[in-house]
Amino acid sequence: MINNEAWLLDVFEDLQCPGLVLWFLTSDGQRLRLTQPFPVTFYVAGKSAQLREAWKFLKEQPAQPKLSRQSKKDIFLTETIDVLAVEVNAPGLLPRLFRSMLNRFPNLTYYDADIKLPIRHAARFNSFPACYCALQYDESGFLHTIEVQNTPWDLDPVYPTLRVIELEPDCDPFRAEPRFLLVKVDGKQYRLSLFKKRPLLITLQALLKKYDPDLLLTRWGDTWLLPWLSNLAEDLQLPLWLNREKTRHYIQRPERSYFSYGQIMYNGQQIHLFGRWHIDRQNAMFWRDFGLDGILEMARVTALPVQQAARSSPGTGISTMQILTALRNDILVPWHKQQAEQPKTALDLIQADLGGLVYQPWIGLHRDVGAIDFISMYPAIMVRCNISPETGKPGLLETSPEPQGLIPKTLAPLLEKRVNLKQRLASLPRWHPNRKLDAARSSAHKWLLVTCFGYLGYKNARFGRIEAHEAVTASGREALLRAKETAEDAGFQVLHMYVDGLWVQQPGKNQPEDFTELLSEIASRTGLSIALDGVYRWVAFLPSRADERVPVPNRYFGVFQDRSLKVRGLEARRRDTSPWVTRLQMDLLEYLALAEDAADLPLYLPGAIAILRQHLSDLRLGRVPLEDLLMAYRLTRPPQEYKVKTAGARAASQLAEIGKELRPGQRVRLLYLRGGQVRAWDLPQPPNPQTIDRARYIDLALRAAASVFYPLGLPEQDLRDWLKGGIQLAFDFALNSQTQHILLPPFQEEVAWQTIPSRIRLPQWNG
Amino acid sequence: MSDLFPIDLPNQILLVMGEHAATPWMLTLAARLSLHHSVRVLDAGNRFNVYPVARAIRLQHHNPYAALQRIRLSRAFTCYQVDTLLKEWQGTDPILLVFDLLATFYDESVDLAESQRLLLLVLARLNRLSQTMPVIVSTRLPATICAERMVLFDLLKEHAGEIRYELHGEVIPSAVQLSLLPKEV
Repeated sequence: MINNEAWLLDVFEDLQCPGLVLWFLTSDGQRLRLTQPFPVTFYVAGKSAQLREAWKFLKEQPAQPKLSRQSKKDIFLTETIDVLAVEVNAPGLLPRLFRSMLNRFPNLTYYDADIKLPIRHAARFNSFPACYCALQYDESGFLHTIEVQNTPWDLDPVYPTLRVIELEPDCDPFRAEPRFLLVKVDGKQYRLSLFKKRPLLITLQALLKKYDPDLLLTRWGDTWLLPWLSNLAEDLQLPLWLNREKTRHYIQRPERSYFSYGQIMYNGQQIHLFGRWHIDRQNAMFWRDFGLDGILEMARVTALPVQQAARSSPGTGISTMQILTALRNDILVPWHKQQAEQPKTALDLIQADLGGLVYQPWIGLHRDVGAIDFISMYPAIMVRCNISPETGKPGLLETSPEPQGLIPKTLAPLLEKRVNLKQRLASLPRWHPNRKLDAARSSAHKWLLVTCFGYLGYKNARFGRIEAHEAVTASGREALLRAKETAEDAGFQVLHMYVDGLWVQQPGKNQPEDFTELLSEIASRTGLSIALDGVYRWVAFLPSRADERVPVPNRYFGVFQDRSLKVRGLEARRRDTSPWVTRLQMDLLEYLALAEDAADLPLYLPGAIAILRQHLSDLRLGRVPLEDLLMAYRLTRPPQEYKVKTAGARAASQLAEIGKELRPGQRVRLLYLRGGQVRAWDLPQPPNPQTIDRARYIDLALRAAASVFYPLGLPEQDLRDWLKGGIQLAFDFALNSQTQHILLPPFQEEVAWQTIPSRIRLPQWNG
Repeated sequence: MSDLFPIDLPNQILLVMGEHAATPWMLTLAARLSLHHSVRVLDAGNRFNVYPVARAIRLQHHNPYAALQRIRLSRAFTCYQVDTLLKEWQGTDPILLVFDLLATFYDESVDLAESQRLLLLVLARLNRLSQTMPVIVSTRLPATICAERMVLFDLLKEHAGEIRYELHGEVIPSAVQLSLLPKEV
């Protein structure tokens, strides 16, 4: 018998004999393949006569399941229920057996029927991706015992040192034909011609063999590269060990469009490997947000396999965590949710189903404003008030005497970890090397926690219940109201409230410590943790574009004491805004952020106007690269089905004509051309820069600039008139009920331009 | 709408079609019916917005509190829940309104064969109910990404006693945005 310690990399079904294959990375750097017996069970409930029929049916099945009668807990029922337990030795046989049962007995109720093997393993052995285990196995690689030595909740987990090979084509294969494959491994870079196919495969295979990577990190690996390489290897009959498990072909999950909360979404094709991980940076859902560190953290806390965690929504993560809690607590996991909402009157509905509380902002510019947020408000309410499908409806923000429900049990450790990580992050200096790691992990937690509330009401949530969803928002509204009253009692004026955050102001209070007492009083009155997001030197709340008297919640920008910017709801935050417009808006904001005090902002206006003028001039002179003018629109349907041919639909039609079909949910990149035309960016021929509709881009730029200038007193129309020439800019700057008339002669712009920091003056494309 | 009062509604499945599953029309109907009768609503597409219903009741110079209490509703978010709700329903109310019946059946995460099986069960239950009361069901066509689910729509159409197209449904006046700001000078 061999004893060893190792990190768990992968778990999947063994095709050779009943059980699992597990790949480990040992503490001395070996890659270890073990097998483990792993019988799995699903449960069936229903009327006795039907269950007897099902028993007979199962006895005749070739899978030869072990059958027994057991008593189990269905979370939606008060009493335990009698179920037929169906156990199979070979986990791979379960899905087929379940399907045949379903076809034969569709009216029976099924539990634990579609749970993935890694999750079952996690439930039985407390395992999770990259967990550290003590192993006992024999010479043949048969695993006898596995004891997990750490938990997903460790603040500083020790990760294995992964061997990584990075692969990417030299260009986007959906835009042009790639010519080279760029390979990065062990500090070296290779550039392999894609046209010399045999040498390409031989070299790649040699690299895979030599370095035996734990992770293939690619770009377009899911949607193009790995299938292309695999097909090539097949055509040339050359070996290519993409999998570490050499006898297996990779799993190819097809692309799909689907609805999520009324929005059409798109998931590209996925390639999953056996024994090593494949992550496609282009297809990993949150790569840009939190990178590999966040993905690994997502996998740790949800127990989802790393390859799946990289491509799944946080909703899938939360759902998996709930399933895990259920399995570990011997609660049945329904195949689908049947329990429906108890009837209520329309009057009850209007009172209960109100969502989050919003207090419209005071439009305009405000100085010395504290922004305070409840920390993960909804999850915190779910934990504090014990809100779960099986628990009673709590009083507003009241604790519950009932035993902890499934949902709070799932969320409590995640919430605690996030709070601890956030507190640690706040105390780390900016230069600290752990900041990036902690921020990535904290971001992964944030997405999971944000989703967990919605999952109470989500259609496919196994443990969702709409009444629980309503109870959470009711307590959320109460918490915000108590916070507002507390702030007002302490002499603050509340400028804006948005679901879980408040913006408060009191003359003379502009340091973090000025808000400490208020925070602790709110925490005491609500029982929820609340933190200071920051103190704004100044913040501007914007109105609706359609009616400037109507405020818009969560549309603002502001500058904190440390000069960092916070921007919400502006063009720069939208994914369909072109990079050039985003850059322009951010340049304006970054420049205005230099103002020490809101009252100094008029002094910065000439410079801001000069920045705008410079950007517009760059556009007119053709100095803006075409890539920076790209718009990206999400398709909601196939292009031919648009009644009104939007720009996105027209661009998608152009691509369809050359055989590049886009599916609903995908984004199409395009340029606006003169004469109301558009041009899809992914067409093979480069567009003629002379045909760009500059007027259209100037219009978009002015809209974005107007959002910045509006709170300073400069209306959009004046800006447009100024651009046409012949007028001098004159407007009223208002701050704290004091108005100052501003006159901007052009020479001031020129003088100001000389004082603008070079990082703003120099366009990104020049440096 | 004025020709469609409870007294005129026959005991059958009346299928109402339209954009957004003819929701404005269905909401107006719910409001009108609730003035004098209790109404049972099964909302299968998260369509039942109480505010326009309350406004429509008020427009008739009725007390919205009393009328809204006469509307009892349950929301279903999966086709299994639609089936469960109809199975468990006692059938004590004089009229049943089903909003956007097929929404959950169009859900691509449920196997089409399974959706079909469940829809047949649901239609059988609705048929039974329609023997004793009017059952008004609203629906819409499937989105393109689940066009193969048109068979579900055809199935529903076969079971309907009458079909009504509300392509330009009665629009309930939206609430006037009250300004808290002083009048413009």
